[in-house]
Amino acid sequence: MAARAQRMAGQVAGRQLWGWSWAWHLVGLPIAAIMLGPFLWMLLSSFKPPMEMIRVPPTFFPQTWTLQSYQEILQKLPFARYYFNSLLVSSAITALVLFTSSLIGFVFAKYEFWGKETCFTLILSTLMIPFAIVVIPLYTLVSAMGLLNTYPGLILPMCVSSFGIFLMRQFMEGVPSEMIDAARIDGAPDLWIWARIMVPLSTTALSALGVFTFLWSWNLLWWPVMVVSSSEMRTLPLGIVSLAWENAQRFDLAIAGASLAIVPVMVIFAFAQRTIVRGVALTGMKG
Amino acid sequence: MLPNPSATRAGTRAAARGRAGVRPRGGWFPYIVVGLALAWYAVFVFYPVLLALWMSLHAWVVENPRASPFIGLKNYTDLLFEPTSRFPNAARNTLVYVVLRTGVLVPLCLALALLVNQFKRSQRFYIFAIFLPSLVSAAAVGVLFRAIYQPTFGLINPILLTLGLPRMGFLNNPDQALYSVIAVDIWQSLGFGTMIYLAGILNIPEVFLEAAKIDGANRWQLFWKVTLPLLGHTTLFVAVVTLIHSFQVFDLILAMTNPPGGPGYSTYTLSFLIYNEALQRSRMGTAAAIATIMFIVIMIFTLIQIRWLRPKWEY
Repeated sequence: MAARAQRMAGQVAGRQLWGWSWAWHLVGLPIAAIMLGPFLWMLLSSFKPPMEMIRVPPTFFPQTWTLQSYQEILQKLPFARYYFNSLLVSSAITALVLFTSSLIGFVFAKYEFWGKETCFTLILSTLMIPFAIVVIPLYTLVSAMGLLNTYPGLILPMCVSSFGIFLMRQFMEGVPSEMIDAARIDGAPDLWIWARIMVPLSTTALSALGVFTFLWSWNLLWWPVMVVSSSEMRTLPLGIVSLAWENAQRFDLAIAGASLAIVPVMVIFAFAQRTIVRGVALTGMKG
Repeated sequence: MLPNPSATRAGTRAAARGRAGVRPRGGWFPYIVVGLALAWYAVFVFYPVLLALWMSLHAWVVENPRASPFIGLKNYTDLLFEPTSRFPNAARNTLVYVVLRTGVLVPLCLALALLVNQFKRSQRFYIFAIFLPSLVSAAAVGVLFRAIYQPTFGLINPILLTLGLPRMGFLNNPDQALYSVIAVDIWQSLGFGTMIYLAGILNIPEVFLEAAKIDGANRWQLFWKVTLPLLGHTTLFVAVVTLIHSFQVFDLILAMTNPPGGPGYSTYTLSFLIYNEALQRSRMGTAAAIATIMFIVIMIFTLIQIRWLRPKWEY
């Protein structure tokens, strides 16, 4: 008994000992190098002059530091416009998803009405519909609406999220109904209750859903490939892929383009890691 | 002391009211909101799904779709039996993709989550490193790895040569291209699975581990007999989500391979074939038939998940 207690104490203490965690770093650091190495190589290579990029044997650190690749890319392609397009489309999708999810989730959480559970099951069942099956008919539909190559064409098919509705219903069911009843007795309209009681009390879930939706829409590629036909309507992911298609042999340009897309994400993640990880852990279920 | 019956009843009634929430008092509000929601779903989800089924049974006429003649299952039989059909090849590639990506990701994410869980002060750094690739778009990652895989000037071949290994063609070699894409996808997707496993590990109540320790379980037994069984649902969840995700791979193929889907047809997946048939070859009917087949397979996996994910135990 005493020996067992001693062994347990040793195990518990062993966890805190420096020796243990240093041993784990021997496994962890090579993994971190594999995860971060490509980004480090990308950043260093983006500052090499084009001739150094194709030198044999290749250099790891640039021998001459230059912004030549970035300058060439910015001359060739309207990257500022791509950022603007991506920012506009992702912000609009995020705002609309937050609006629709919280309003529809509120109704499903706090109202009783005819056909409620059937409607909810119908909405949830759309989660198993792959984008691959709707993408071609959606393309013909958006084309018939005359929305090809427009911002509404990029935004409208993405502005309601079944997962968001599900998440907000789950969260809002936890808000005490007494607060709503009190507001009702005072004659508050339904939309006022939604805007002034439910939304302020749901900021945790809304911010997680917002982070997730923004990241998801920022990275969309397939739908923009279908909808966009002119260079100035491209979103950032489409812009980078087009750059690679049009200059297949220019790896210096590919690397500088990838850097322009990746560095902002790295900076934002470094500063908002806690929020983003929490948001993704809560909603990342969608995969 | 006996409970006061009337007080209990009142309490129950209050609780029932609390659950039911706002009563519809002649309220059209929920009907308007849900009606608008269903209208959106009808236009952007249900109509496209039905149209896809319809398209798969007709020979699509671009100029006048309504005049498309009904041809039964010909689109499907063409896909399966036409000698020039790329469907068997794309289906095989997708199967390889699904099996490899899922088979590697699930155990690797579990191992990484256990590892990250060991760190206290440096945990933030490791989460940053493992999670960063997941936040970057597949487009940017694909374009970056075009350069990293480049056989002469890239990052990997010089390392292989230093280690005394042979030079590889990677994306230029039709036999290696698909595996090169899968490797990048695994690298990029480690973050999500690891996070979900990490949340699962943190959810295991400390008392279970303490109880096992008091019974004399060593670290090895602790993992195999307590932690792993309690992570059963997390594992099933990660596996099914990874599987469904792998099945639909598109962005990486488009961004990384040159020409997209190549070299040759070596990286054609089902999603890519849909895109190719519809946009490049204007064969809407066969594209819709492939989509329908994918839909059925994904529905089967989702139903399996719903059936198996009913918790057998709760904690």
